[in-house]
Order: sequence, then structure tokens, then C-alpha cells
Amino acid sequence: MKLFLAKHKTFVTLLLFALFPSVLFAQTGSQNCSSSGYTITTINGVLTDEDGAIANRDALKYYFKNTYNGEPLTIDYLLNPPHALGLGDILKSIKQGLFDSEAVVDYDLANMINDASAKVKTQKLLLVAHSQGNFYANSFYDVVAGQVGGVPKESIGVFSVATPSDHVAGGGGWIISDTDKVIAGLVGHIPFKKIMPPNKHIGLQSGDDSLGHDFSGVYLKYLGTEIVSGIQSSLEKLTTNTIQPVDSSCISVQKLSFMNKIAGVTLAVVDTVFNTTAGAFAASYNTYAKIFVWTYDTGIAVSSAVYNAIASAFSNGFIASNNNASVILATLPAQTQENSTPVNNQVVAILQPPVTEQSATAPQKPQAVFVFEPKVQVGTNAPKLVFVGSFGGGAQAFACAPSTRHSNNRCGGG
Amino acid sequence: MKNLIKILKWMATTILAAFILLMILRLPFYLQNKKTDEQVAKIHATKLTIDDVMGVNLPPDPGAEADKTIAGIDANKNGIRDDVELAIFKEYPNSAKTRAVLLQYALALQMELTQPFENEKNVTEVVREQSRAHYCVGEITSRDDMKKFIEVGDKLHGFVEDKQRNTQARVDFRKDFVKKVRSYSESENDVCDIKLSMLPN
Repeated sequence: MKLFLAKHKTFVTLLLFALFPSVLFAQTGSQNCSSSGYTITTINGVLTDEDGAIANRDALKYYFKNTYNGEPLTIDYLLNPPHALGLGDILKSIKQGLFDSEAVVDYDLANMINDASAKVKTQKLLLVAHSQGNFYANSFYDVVAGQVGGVPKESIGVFSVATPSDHVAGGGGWIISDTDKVIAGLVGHIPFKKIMPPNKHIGLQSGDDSLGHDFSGVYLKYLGTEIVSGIQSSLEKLTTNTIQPVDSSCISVQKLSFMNKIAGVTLAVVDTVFNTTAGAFAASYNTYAKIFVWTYDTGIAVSSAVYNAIASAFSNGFIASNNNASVILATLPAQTQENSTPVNNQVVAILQPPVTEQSATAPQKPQAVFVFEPKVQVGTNAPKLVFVGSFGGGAQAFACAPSTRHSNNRCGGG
Repeated sequence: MKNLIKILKWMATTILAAFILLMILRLPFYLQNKKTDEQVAKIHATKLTIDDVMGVNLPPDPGAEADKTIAGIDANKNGIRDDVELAIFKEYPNSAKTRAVLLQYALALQMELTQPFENEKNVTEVVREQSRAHYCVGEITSRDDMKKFIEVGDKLHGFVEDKQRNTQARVDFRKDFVKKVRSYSESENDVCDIKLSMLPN
């Protein structure tokens, strides 16, 4: 053996060099979690790319000094990336709306948490979310707050701007303008969907985002002072803790589940396809949201036209009464218009349950009653579609045309 | 025993050859990384000077040439596009502090148009400097009157951004540019390149 090594020392030296490289992997970034300082991270809504997220962050950062309460203040962002040119975002928003009370840990949320793990260097953390980003902020809080490897509840908070969710995780503050057509106008009128009540009013000017929903272009522009004040109040509630060690990351890295990895690969493919082949038809969030708002308003207008056709065929309608399904007559403020029909003409469609042996002697109970308000003001005053019925639960739902909405956000006459 | 040594020798030779081959293949990436690190250092070293603020070496008006290329004209080679620089001086001839913050912002925005190459690292550093310059604009207005602070800031940011991204080609370039941005933390430089308190007005 010694003879072999002596004979081939150059070869052996090179081999040892090859097997044991002198370059080691350097640790990227320092891991620390300071008890001094605050971190605010913004989470964007749908159809916002990296540039938009940076712009939102810079716009918000602009309002604050570099310190708060004598401690360093860092403002950063967690990207909620757009998918499939926004179509994926819309579908995701619907799913998140349906599962609003649960933490939806999808691929994007896992990435956000990992991004936060790299960016957040202070114990005190405030998430400031806009629009659909609020679903992620709530889920982020649910996954991270009070959990092992996460952030103790006293050190993390959420502040919501234009949130479509029915709650703010951790009991945080929120701001919604009643002129926000996406949240107050559309989401707030989806049957069975609750939102946080609008608590501000923005008088939109010419040139503003017509939907009144944009974070920096509308909310920060007109309610910058209130948003800053709300954020400051949220920061005041945050305290340091004795759980997070200062020499490790504030938030542990999330391991992506197998399904998350599959989702990640799928999204990468889908996004690439959409970005390269459908780029010419990329729609801004305004366009998509306008489509939804238009569809809702058009639906009301179409049902009005249908009613007019039916009403003209009946001289005296019949009204359901004496049954367990409540009947509500939608009433609009009296308006005199050229094509309004007399108030007596009402059409009520009643769906009768099938007559069975047991129900033969029992009073027949309609399962649903749809009533169309006879007076229709063409143009601004679409009729109100109201249905009240017991779909196996007695749930009541109201859908009002925006024009008939009272200032307290309830439907007129409902 | 001889056969065993032969086999071991063969295996070791293979490993060594593979290692040398990998090193050769990695060389271009190593050189690129080196170039990137140099470019990042250059980005961080790009700062506004007091001469820029006081208009010591103002460039001539580039006229129609200003928009013929995406990068535009920078005759005095200070990193600020000449048409934007002259517009700032024309709009704020009597306020050195306003010129200082706007010129720094213009300088940062121009950096995205003049990078010799674009990868995640240098793009992220450019955007980080732009965020710093964006924030610097607010240093000349008091936050005591928040409404005024917001209005002034919007006006100043918009002034530079509109001049800087005044063609569709430049707007499109920006959209592609930021696709490479990755996570970044605060810049370690002072917010404003020039000590504003040193300026006369």
C-alpha cells in the first residue's frame, strides 16, 4: 500500500482533492429574529405581478418613517403571484371565498410562508393585505400564529384593506370603502356571502380606477391617513415574546407537500402557456372585475325584461299566501317611468312540492317563491330579485340591485 | 489483489475525469457569477453627486434623439437620462433639495435600462435601489400634514415616472425587467445619496 501511494502520489493527491472539494456551501442570509423592531409585509390581491407588488410595497412604505416607537421598521412584500393571466386568481378567489373559515394551505401560501421565513427578521410582524390577499393573510395567520416554528399570537397581526373575507384573522382592523364596486358592490351581494361591513367612503374622481378597488391608486390615495393610522394601531398591539429565539429564523421554512409540488409544476406549465400564447389577451384586474360586475347588473336587467314580458301576459296575477315559505314583495321607490306597469300586476312563481300520501291532507307548502317587482325603471333602477324559501333550511337570501341599496347596505323593502 | 487495485484505479480515474469535466462546464457560470458580482457592486456604487444636483455639467437638449432608443441619451455620462435631467432642472430651478431627490429617483430608474445583462441578481439589486430612491423623495416633505405629504409625493413620483417611462417600449421593457426580481431586503445604503440638510434650498 505504501509503495502504491509513493508511486502514484500525484494521482492520489488529485483524487483526494476531487473527493473532498474545498468549497463548501455557504449559508445564505443570516438567521436571526430580533426582539427589537417591526416588520410589515404587504400581500397583494389578484392580477398583481411582481412589479405591482413592489409598487404597492413602495407606496405603503412611503408613508412611514424607518422607525416606529424608536425601533426599526421594515416594510416588505409577500408576492401573491398571478396565475393563468388572472383566470387562476379568479377561480382561486371563489374557492377561498367558499372555504373562508378554513386555512387553505396551497402552493402559493406555502411559498409565501417560506418567503416570509427569509425576509422577516423581527418578532413583531404585521400582515397588510389587499383584496384577495386577505384570504392568504388569514390563512397565513391561522397556519403560523401560535404554532410551533411560527409566531406567537401576541407578536403577529393582520390589517385588511378591501377584504372579501368575512373576518380579519386575530381580530385585526380593516378598511373597506362603500364605493368599492368589487368588494362592497359585488362580493357583498353574493347570496350567503358575508363581508366585513364597509366603514369608509371614497369619493372617486375622474381618472381614478372606476371600480374603486385599487390599493395604491384608490385606497392609499384617498384613505392614506386612515390606513396609516389603522396600521399604527395594529403595530401598537404587537409585543415581543420569549418563545422565538433570536439566533434562528422567525418563521420556520414550510416543507412543500407532494400535492403542493405537483401544483407548483402544474402552475409553472400553465402560466408559461398562458403568458406566451395568450399574452395578447392579458386582462387587467379591472377588466375581469368589470366583467363580473357587468354580468351581475346585466342579469338583473335581463330578469327585468323577462318579467315585463310575463307581466304583460297577465292582467291579474296570483299571490301565494298562507304557507310556510315566506313571500316578500320586492318594492322599489315609486318612480314614474314610461314603461312601468301598474302596481297590481304581480307575478309570483310557486314551485309546488310533489303531492305524496302524507302530504295529501297537509297544506301544500311551496318550496320557493320568486317575486319580481312590477315597476321597472329602465336604466338605473333595475328590479329587485328577491327569493325567500325553505330549501331544506329556511335560508333567506336577498339580492338587491345596487341602485336600491340603502346607506346601511341593506336592501330597500327587504 | 492486482485486479482490485486496477479496479480502484479505474474508478478513481473516472471520478477525477468527471470532476475535471464538471469544473470545465461550470467555468462559464463561475465567470458569469463573477461578472454579476461586479455589476452588483457597480449598482450599489452608483450614486448622485452634488455636482449633478447643482447642475455643474448639464447636458445639451437631446431633442428627438431622446426617445430613439430605450436607453436614450446621456451625454454627460452621469447615469441620468438627459431629457429627464433637463426637465427636472426646468421644473425645479429654485429647489436643490427637490432636484436632489428627483435626480436620485431618475438615476435609479435609468439603471434598469442600462444593465449590460439581466439576471435575477442584478435586476433585484436595481429594483432595491429604486425602492430606496422612491422613499428618498419623501424626505423633503414633513409627515406632520399627511394629506399634503401624500399629495406632494404623488406629484413628485409621477413627474419622474412619466418622464422616465414615456414610450411604450420603455413601459414594456420595465414589465419584462421586473419578471426577474426576487426577494430582497432593505438597502444598506442611506436613504438619500446627498445629505439634504447640506443643500441651500
